[in-house]
Amino acid sequence: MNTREEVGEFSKLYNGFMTVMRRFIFKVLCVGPIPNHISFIMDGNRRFAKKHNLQDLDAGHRAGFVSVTHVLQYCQEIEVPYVTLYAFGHDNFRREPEEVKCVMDLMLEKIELTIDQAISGNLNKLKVIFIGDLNMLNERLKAAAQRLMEVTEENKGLMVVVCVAYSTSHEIVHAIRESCVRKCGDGDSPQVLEVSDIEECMYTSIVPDPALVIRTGGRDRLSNFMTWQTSRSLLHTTAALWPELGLWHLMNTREQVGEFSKLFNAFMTVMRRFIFKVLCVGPIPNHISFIMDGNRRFAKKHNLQGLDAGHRAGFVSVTYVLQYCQEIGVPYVTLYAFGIDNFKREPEEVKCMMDLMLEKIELTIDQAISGNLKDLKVIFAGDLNLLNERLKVAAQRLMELTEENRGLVAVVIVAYSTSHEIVQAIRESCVRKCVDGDSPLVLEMSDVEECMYTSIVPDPDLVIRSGGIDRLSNFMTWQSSRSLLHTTAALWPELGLWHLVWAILKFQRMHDYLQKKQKLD
Amino acid sequence: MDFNDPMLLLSSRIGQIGDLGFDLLWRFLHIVVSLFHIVSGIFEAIQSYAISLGLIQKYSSIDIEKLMCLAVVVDIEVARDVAKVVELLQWLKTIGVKQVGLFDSQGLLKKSKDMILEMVPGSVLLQETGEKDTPPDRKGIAIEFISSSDNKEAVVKAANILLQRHLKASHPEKDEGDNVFTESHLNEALRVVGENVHVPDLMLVYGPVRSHLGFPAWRLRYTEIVHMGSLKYMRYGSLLKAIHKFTGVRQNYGKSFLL
Repeated sequence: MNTREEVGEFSKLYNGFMTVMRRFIFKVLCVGPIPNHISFIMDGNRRFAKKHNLQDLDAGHRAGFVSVTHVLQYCQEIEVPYVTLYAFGHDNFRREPEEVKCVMDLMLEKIELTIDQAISGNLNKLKVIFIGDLNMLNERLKAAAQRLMEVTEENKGLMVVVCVAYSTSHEIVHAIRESCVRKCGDGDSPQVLEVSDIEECMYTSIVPDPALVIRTGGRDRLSNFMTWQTSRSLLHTTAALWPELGLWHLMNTREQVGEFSKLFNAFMTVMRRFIFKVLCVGPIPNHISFIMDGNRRFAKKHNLQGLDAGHRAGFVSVTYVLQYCQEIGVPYVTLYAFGIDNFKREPEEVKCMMDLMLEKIELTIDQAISGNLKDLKVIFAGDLNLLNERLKVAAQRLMELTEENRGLVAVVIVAYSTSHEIVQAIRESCVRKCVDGDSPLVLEMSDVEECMYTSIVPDPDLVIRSGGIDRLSNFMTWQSSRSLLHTTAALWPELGLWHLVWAILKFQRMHDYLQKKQKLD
Repeated sequence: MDFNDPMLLLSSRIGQIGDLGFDLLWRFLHIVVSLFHIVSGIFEAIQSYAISLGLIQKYSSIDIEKLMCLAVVVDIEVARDVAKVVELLQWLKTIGVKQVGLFDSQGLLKKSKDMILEMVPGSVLLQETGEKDTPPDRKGIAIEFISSSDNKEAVVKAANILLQRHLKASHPEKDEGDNVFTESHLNEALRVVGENVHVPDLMLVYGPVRSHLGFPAWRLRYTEIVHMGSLKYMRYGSLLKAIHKFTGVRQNYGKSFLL
């Protein structure tokens, strides 16, 4: 009777199918000539971050790194021998110092991650080389880059050249200086520089000239990148921002892909609305509760660095789930964000999560102020006095701003546990009874239930727990006597449309039975 | 005017056909889902028979010591079939479970408790004795009968006891409440009312739906909840599998679950 395993199996099958399709497409592509060396100008990370309202300075670049891993994988599968990635230019040092530092730290983090991969033997077919004016990088970064080069030196397969602190103008001048020094050192040959002398001393002398230069971000210039080496290269620009670059961009030209992805998104939206219309023929739960478990396991599974990486991925899931619930027409949604038991974790981790919550609340406040949140009412339930001042104030502000909104009521449950809720409710109701002189000094069930944090919403019809665990973990055990308790093996950031649809289908099958139970009460 | 009426009629007809179309699609979707459940039920049944026959090695030994307290939630409709409940208790005794809390929301099993205790050899009624008093080598199975009245109503009775204590406190208005209103005080008040506050480690739900049906909320907080299907079709193999799986579970109590 368990519905746990089948959805995990479904996504594995889907991924397997997509890989087979992709390999097939590449086989067809490889009938024709394949570029010997592709260069990528990875532009558009910051615009991507702005477009998706990502807060951190390095958020766009992190998304960009994911793109890098995909692109390298595709190039490896297509068997392109050399790939160059323009990561950071000389000109980029002129940006804000914080931003530069942020990007350098991110680079260091990713290099160290790659070194670990290389050491554990997962990078056998990749050789990484760093070129550019490496003396401009800080000591740690330079040492890490050199270590990665050493560790992958013997590897055969795709050669990836990462250009950092690079610009064509600097490269040419450096090459001239080097070749002059060599000429002076070498007494025999005539004191005249040839093109070959200069080209030998260039950073990019280790790779052949690029056959194809792909620039993302819709700009039409080379921006001081490899202008010497690209006399015979096809210069291709795509409007997609670097983190959006995908399989089809590698294969297609600018306009078709832009249109294609718009069409694809529109198609998916229509399909989704259609599925929801079918679902809504049957009864829809009045109140769905989500126990959002599995963020940390997700971060571990995908090797994400940063204490809050899993939780950030979890927040993306929250936005999707709320959107789907709004489209289906569910009136109340509860999200179990942080329990009182979770305060027992490491203090750094707790602080990290509180900061992330504050960041997301402030983001949502901005959305609310600019009028994008008309159909959502946000309420925070739980012992808000356990939160720090700033977070409490931000939560209250968001509640005020969305108070008048009609539509989905999203209750975010923080600093909560059933045991704490029951005890607090008893305390509150006792205090109220004492103060209220008239009524008899006996507590009724309604007195206690009125004082509970969750008195603002009806009892949940459906409780969905992600992360594959079978218990309620001190969450709404009082209110869930007549709820369908659904558990799914998917981790919270992996929870998607189909998991939600499956849970609702299950609810619909059992709806009559649950209604009968409620009438018996 | 005349032209509008047939148009309105036509569009409403089209709307009705559209609604009918969605209706049919919905029913079809549910038929597919039901078929899926039937097929997975068949596989479960086969696996369960294999386990009962001892064909699957890993289920042949269970570390029953990990299961201190088991709760069984039984649906009222099938609770009328007390014989099945007795058979289940006998199975649990064979497996080596020492303590079972039997719950049904209307309290029908409570009314038949004498009959049940008689029909399950070696069973005793669980008294609220506390862990120190329980002899470790006690044979047989201790059974507790729970119903909805032990849930919210019991908590309200306990709340009234706390209210009386609060009133008797020397300065009720100024008192922050920490002397009277804590979890341990509530535990104590529940014991005074006659409730068992022992927390079950595992809960088996025998009914059509995975729902705890009103089991005492105060005790349910960290209990693993497993849905076993209908009591009418209960299988020994499935029971073994559920208990075995529980013994492999790791609890972190907040440090590692959630988010």
